[in-house]
Amino acid sequence: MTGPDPAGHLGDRSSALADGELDGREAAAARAHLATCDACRAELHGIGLTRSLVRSLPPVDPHLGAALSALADGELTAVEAALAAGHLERCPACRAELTEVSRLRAVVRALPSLDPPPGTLALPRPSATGTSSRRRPVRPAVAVARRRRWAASAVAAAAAFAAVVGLVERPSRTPPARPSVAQLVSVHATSAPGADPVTGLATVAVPVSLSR
Amino acid sequence: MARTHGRFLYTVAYRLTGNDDEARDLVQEVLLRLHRGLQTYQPGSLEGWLSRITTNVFLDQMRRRARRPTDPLPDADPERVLPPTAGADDQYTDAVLSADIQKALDGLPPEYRTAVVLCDVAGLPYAEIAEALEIPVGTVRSRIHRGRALLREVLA
Repeated sequence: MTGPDPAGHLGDRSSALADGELDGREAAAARAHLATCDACRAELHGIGLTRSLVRSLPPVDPHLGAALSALADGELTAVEAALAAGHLERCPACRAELTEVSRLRAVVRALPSLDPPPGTLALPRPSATGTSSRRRPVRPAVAVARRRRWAASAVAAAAAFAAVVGLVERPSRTPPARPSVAQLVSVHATSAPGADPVTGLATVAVPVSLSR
Repeated sequence: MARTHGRFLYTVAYRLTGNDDEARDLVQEVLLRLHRGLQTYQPGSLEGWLSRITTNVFLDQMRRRARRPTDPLPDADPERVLPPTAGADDQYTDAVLSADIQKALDGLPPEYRTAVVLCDVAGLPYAEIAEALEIPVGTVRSRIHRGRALLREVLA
């Protein structure tokens, strides 16, 4: 199949001919040969069929899957976000899933933050075994002594903790700007006015990311 | 400041463990580790650092419990489903709703739960979650998404 055939068969030139990539002289020679050669005509026919079949395949356009969560979280790169926006316009299933993901995200983010009960931050207790040795009503003398030692170190721990959190002066948790979602939603809203699910997303996702 | 971060720490611990007793244990274990390992702190996101220690302790405890199946799982304390916040009329419905969501979180496998809690409760970016859990960012992405999908099935 490769290289010029001694008998003048087209070989590799069949595909080039089908794609219109032979120059005028080569094409004329190839056609002259085709007129006399059943084998080359058959091969060219096969190549033409394959070519049109491949060309008729739909473009690869995978569903967004986990990228939907990343999109809702503003964690897609600009390129990914642009690709995702294109897919969302074509794919109602992904639009619906994005709405659901955003709803769940908002639900968890709306959980209230909790005040630690008094003493939680002040008195680390020893617990060699982790969770099981807490709050026993009766404490043997040894444990009491151990507890005193721990109480001393607990004060130090609390001081250290306070030092850490005091030293690092940060503004209260400002939510990271999530431009991608808002941007995407607005871009999408203007380009696809009928796409309610995604537009609906904005009303769910935006206030929540601000509420943190 | 300490109050704000104490609240952050306790909230993350509560959302991970699902009940007050374990959340307090977790917080205190974290404080002990902070006390021992202060030198290892590197300037960066304090929340990220606290979250990293907290999830490490939490996952250690989950592993320990998995090795000792006789250790009973503590019940979620029903009388303290939701600590009071600045309350209004709909506090009760909020509490019920929160309890349902917390229960759904509790039902997630630990690896999904930690990813979702670090993202949606701690508010960490994926890069910091990846660092805290020592997994690639792509894995963070799929765990968060899978976690949300599972929550959706439970809360549907």
